[in-house]
Amino acid sequence: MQNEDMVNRQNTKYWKGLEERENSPEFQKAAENEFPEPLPPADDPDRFFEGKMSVSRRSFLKAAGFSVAGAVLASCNRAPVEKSIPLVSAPRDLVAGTSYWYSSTCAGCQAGCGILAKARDGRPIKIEGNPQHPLSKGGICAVGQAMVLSLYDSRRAQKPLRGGKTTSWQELDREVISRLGELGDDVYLLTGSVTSPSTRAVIDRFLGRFSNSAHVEYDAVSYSAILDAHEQTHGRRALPRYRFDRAEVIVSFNADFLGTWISPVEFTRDYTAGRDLVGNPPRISYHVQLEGRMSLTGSNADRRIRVTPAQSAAILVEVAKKIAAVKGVNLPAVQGKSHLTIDPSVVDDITGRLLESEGKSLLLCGRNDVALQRLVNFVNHALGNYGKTLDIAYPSYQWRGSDRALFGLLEKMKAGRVKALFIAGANPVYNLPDAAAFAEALKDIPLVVTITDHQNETAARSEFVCPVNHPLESWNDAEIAEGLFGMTQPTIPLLGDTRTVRECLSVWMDEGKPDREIVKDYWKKTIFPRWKGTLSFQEFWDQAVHDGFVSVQPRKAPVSSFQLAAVTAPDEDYLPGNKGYALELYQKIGVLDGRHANNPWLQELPDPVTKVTWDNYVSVSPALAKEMGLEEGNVVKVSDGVYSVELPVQVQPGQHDEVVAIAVGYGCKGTERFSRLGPDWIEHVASDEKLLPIGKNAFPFARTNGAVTSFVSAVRLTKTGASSPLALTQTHQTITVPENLGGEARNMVRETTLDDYIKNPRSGNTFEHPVLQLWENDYVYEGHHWAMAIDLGRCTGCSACVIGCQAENNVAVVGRDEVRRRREMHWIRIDRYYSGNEGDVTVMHQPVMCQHCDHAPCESVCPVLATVHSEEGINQQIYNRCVGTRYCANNCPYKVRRFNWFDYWEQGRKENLVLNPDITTRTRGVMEKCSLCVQRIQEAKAEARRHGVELKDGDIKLACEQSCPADAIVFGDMNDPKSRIAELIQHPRHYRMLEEMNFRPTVGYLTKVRNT
Amino acid sequence: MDSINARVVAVVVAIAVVFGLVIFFQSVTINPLGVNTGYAPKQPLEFSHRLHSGDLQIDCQYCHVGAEKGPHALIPPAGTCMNCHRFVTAAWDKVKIEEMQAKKEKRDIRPVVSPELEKLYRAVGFNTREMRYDEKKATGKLEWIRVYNLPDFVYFDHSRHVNADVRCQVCHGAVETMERVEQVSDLTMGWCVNCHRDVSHGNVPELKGKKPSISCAVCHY
Repeated sequence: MQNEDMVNRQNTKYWKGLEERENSPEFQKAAENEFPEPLPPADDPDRFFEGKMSVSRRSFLKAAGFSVAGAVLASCNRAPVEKSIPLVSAPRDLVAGTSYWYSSTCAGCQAGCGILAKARDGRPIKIEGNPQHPLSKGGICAVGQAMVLSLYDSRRAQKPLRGGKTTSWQELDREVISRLGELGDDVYLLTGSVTSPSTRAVIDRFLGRFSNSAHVEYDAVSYSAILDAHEQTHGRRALPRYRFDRAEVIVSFNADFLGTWISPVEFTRDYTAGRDLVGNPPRISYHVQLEGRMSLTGSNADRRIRVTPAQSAAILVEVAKKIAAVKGVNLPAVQGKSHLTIDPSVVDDITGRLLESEGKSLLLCGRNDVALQRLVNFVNHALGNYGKTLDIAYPSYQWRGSDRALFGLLEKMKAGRVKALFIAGANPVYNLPDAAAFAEALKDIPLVVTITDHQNETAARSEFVCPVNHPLESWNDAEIAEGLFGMTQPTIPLLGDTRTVRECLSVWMDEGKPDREIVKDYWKKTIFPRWKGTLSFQEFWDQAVHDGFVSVQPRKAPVSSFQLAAVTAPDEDYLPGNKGYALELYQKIGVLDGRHANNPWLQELPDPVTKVTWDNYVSVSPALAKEMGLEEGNVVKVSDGVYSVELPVQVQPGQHDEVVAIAVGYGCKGTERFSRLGPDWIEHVASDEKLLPIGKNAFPFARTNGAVTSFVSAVRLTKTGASSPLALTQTHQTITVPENLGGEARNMVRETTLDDYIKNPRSGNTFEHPVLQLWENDYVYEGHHWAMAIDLGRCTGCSACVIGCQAENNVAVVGRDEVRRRREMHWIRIDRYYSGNEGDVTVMHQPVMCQHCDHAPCESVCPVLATVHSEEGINQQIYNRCVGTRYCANNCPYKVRRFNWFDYWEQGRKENLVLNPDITTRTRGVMEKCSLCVQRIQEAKAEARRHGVELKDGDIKLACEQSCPADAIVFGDMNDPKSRIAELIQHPRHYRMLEEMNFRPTVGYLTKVRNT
Repeated sequence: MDSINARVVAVVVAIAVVFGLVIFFQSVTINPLGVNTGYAPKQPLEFSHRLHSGDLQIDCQYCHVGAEKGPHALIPPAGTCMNCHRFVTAAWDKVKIEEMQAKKEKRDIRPVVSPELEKLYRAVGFNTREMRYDEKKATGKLEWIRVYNLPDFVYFDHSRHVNADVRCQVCHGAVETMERVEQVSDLTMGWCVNCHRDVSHGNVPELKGKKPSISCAVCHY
C-alpha cells in the first residue's frame, strides 16, 4: 500500500509558483525564514528612526512627568462619558442591535443574481446570496459581496455638477429641460445593458418625444457577437440561456464562464451541479477548454488545450466541418483548406465526444466574433442542443449591448448629427477601443449629460453630471431571463443628493413621479397581468419585494428555423508568427471592465489564477519569458503599432507561448488614491513616485471592424529594462516542506480520475503513515464539535469566499506595498497548485483558512494564553489578550494566522460604516485568523434558545459557506450523526491536511475527481 | 525676615497640600483602572427608577424592550414615556392641590406640568396646554448618559441572559430602589466568569441546570 502511494506521490508533484518548482535558493530561504516578511525597521531604518532616537534629557523628563501625571489622572478619572440618544418614536418590531434582511437583486454586473442584504441599525453591512433565487440559487460572487463597500465609497458622486461646479437639481433640471426644448431632435441615450424593464419604458417614453432619437446600449466587454449571430441564425437578437447542469460534454473556446463570462454565479452553480458524482456508477460532466491564456475556467477543465486565437478559430471550423459531414449538412462556406496547425486528433476527440452526447452537450465561444459565433450556433443546432442545454426561445436578457449600434452612434457624432447625448451607467471615454475619437466628437455635441456614480473620464468631459444612486439605495427591477424578474429595494436612505436614471429622465419629461411609483406602476401595468395567481396587485407587489424576484408565465419567443445560409467562414485571422504575439484582453474577477476599480476589497482580491493583487500586468508563458530573458516584474512595452503600454510581466504556466494577456479595467481615473493606500506611516510615501492610477488601461488594444469589438489583437513586446515588483500572494504562506528538511510526506491537495474513483472511491486518498503522538487524544467534546469540509471537486477557486469573509469579519485592506511585504490580511487564502510541466499544467484550487486543530500547535506556544481551545472545538483567538509575540504564526503548520503590523483602521472614514458591529476591529500588534464565524454560531445558538428549540443542522451558515456559488463548503456539528458534515467526514474522499502530524484539524477536504 | 517668611509660606503650603489630599481622597473612591463601580451620572432628566419600577411596579421590559429580543436592552424612545405621560403631566398630589385650589377659587383647572416632564415634552414636541403633539417643535434631544459601559472587545447580549432567566437585578442591583441609577457591578472579566462558573457548578439555586460557557469566544470575537 505504502509503496503504491510512494509512486503516486512521486508522479504528481504540486507547486504553487515557478520559484517553488525550480526550488530556487531565494525560495528556500524564504520558506525557511522564521519571519518571511521583513521587519519594519529593516525596511528602511533611516526613515523609521529618523529624528526619533535622539531624546534629550529634558524631553525624557517631560515625557516621564507627563506619563506619571497622566496615569494618576487616568486612575481617578471616570471613563469618557458615553451618550445614548434613543429615537423619539421607534419603528415597531425594529430592535436596535439586531439584523434585518432585505432581498434584492445584485447590480455588480448585469447578471442579476438574487441577494439578501443584511442591515444593522439602518445600514447594510453584508450581502449574501438569496437561496430561493432560481438563477443564482444562493450563490453570489466576490463582486456582488463587495458592492456593499462601494455604497460607502467616500468618492462616490454626491452632488449634481454643471461645468465641474456643484449645482442644484432644480437648476440642472431647468437648464436641461430648456435646452432639450430648443433642440427638438437628434437626442441619443448611451448606456450599458439596461436590464430594468421599468427604466426601459421610461427611456422609450423620453426618447419618443424627439425625432431621430435612439437608445444605444453597449457593454465594454461585449457579448454583441453572440446576440448578432443569433439574430442571423435564429431571427432573434438575444442571449441564449445556457444550462450547464444539463450538459454532459462542455466544449469551451475561450469562454471564461466560471470567471466573468455572462453570468458566472449561475453557471458555477449549474456547472458544479453537473459534477456531483451521483448515480451508479457516478457520473460527472466532461469539460474541454481551448484557450491561450490561463483562465479560471481553464484551470478547472478536465482537459485544457493551449491554442492561439487563430488556432482556436481553425479548430472550431474543423469541428463544424466534421459535424456537418456526420449530419449530412452541406456547409459550403467552411469547406476550404484546413488551417489547423495542431494535432488533428484534438478535433476528432472533441467531435467524437460531442456526437456521443447529442442534446446533452454544449459548445461555447468567448470570442466577440460574429462568424465564429454563427459556427457555434450551427454546431449546437446540429447536435440538437437548442431547447436542451441552451435556449433561445426562452432567452436570457442579461446582456443586450450592440457594438454595431455604438459604432453607428459614433459615426453620427462625427458627422455632427447628434445634438444631445445622455450617457448613463457607461464610461465610453475610458473603455471604448477608440475612446480618443469619441472624446473628440463629444466636444461638438451641444448638450452632454452624464449620469454616473463616480467622477470618471466621461463625466469630466460632460457639461452636466448627475450623480446616481447606489443600487442598495434604490428601487429597481431587472428582467433577467424570459419570465424571471428581479426586484431591487432600498436598504438605506439616500446617502447623497442622488437620483436614479429613471428618475432623472422622468423629471426631464415633467412626469415628476417618485421613483418607487414609476417602478410600481410599470409592474402593475405590465408584469402583474402576466402573473398567474390569485393575489391582488398590492399583495403581489409585497410578495415580489419580499422574495426579491418573481417568476411569471414565460412567453415563447418567435424564433425562425435555423438559417444555414447565414453560417459563413470566419474571415479574420489572428496568426501571430511574424506579426508578433496574439494579445488576449480579459477581465479580472474583481474589477471586471473597470466598473469596480474604486473598490479596495476587489483591488486587493488576489486573482484566482495569477494571485496578483492591485495591478494589471502582461501574462507571458515561461518559455516566452525565457526566450526574451524576462523575469517576473520586469517591465515590457506592449505595442500594437498605435497604442502602447508599459507593464510588468507575470510568468504564467500553462499559457500559450505565442499569446500574451492583459486585463482590462485598470488605469481608471480615481484609482490614483490607492497608490497611497496603507497604514499611516506608509501613507506619506506613495508606492509610485507620483500618484498614478492603479494599472494601465488596455481597452485601446481592442479592435473594431465596424460591426463588433474584438478583444484579440497582435502586439510586439520590447524589454524596457525597468522593473516593478508585482503585489502577488503566490508563494506567501507556503506550507511546502523544503526537500532539505525532509520534504513533504504527501500532497496537500489530492485528486483522482473518474475511472479510478469508480473502481475505488478512496483512490488518490489512500495513504498510510505513522501518526505522531505528541498529545493524548483524551478530550471528549460533549456538546457541539464544529467542523468543516471543503469539496475540492466543486471548488472552482472563484474567490467569493475571500470577500465574504472580509466583509463579515472586518478584515482590513492593507494596500499594494504591504502585500508586496507579504502582509495581506485575508483570513481565507486560496492556494493554487500546479502540476505537470510548465507548458501544460493542471491546476488545483484549495481554500485554506484556520484548520481549527484539536491539537493546535499555535495554542501550546502562546505565552499569554491568547489563543486557546473552546469546548466546542474552535481554536479561539482573543485579541485583547494578544501581545503580538507571533509565536503562534510561526508554529502554525498551515500558515493561516495574520498579524496586524499597523493600525489599519482610521476613525471618521465613511467606509467604516460597512464594519460589522459584532466583530472587534483589531489593533496594531494583534494576531488574527479565521474564527469559524463564531459570532454566527453564537447568534444561531441564542436565536434557537430564544425560541426554545434545538439547533438544527444547517441553521448556522458561515460567511464563506453561505455565498459559495459552487456549494463547496459545508459546516456543521460533527457530533450530530445526522448532519451533513458527519456524513462527509466518513466519505472515502475526505482527508485532512498533514494528517500524519496528528494536529487533528477539524477542517477537512474532499479529493478532486477529474473526468479524463 | 526673608527666611521666616519663607518658612511660614512652606508650612502653610504643606498644610494646605496635606489637607487638600485628605479632602481629595475622601471624596473620590479610587477604583482599579477601567472599573467604574458607583458611577451615577446626572441624567438630562431626573427620571426616578424608584418611582416607576419600585412604587408603580412597571416591568423593566415595558421600557427596555430590547432586553429579551436583542443584544441591547435599549433606552426607551421618548414615545414610550408618552404612552402614560401624555395623560400624566405631574405628580398626583400636585394635581390634586391644583384641583382643590381651582374648586376653591371657582375657576377652570389649569394644567400642572412638572419641570422634569417639561423636558420630555420639549423633546417630543407635545403641547401641554392643548394636550396634542406639535411635531415641528420636537427637539428630539434627550441625551442620556450610559451608566454601564463595556469595552468594544467584549460582546454582551442581553437577550441571551434574560432568556436564560437571569434577573435584571443580578447585574444591575436593586434599580427599583434607586432615585438615580448607579453602577453596582464592576463589569470586570472576573466578575463575569465567576457568575458563569457558579451557575454551571449549580451554586445559584434559581439558575440550576444552566451551563453557561466560560470559553473565551463566548464574549470575545
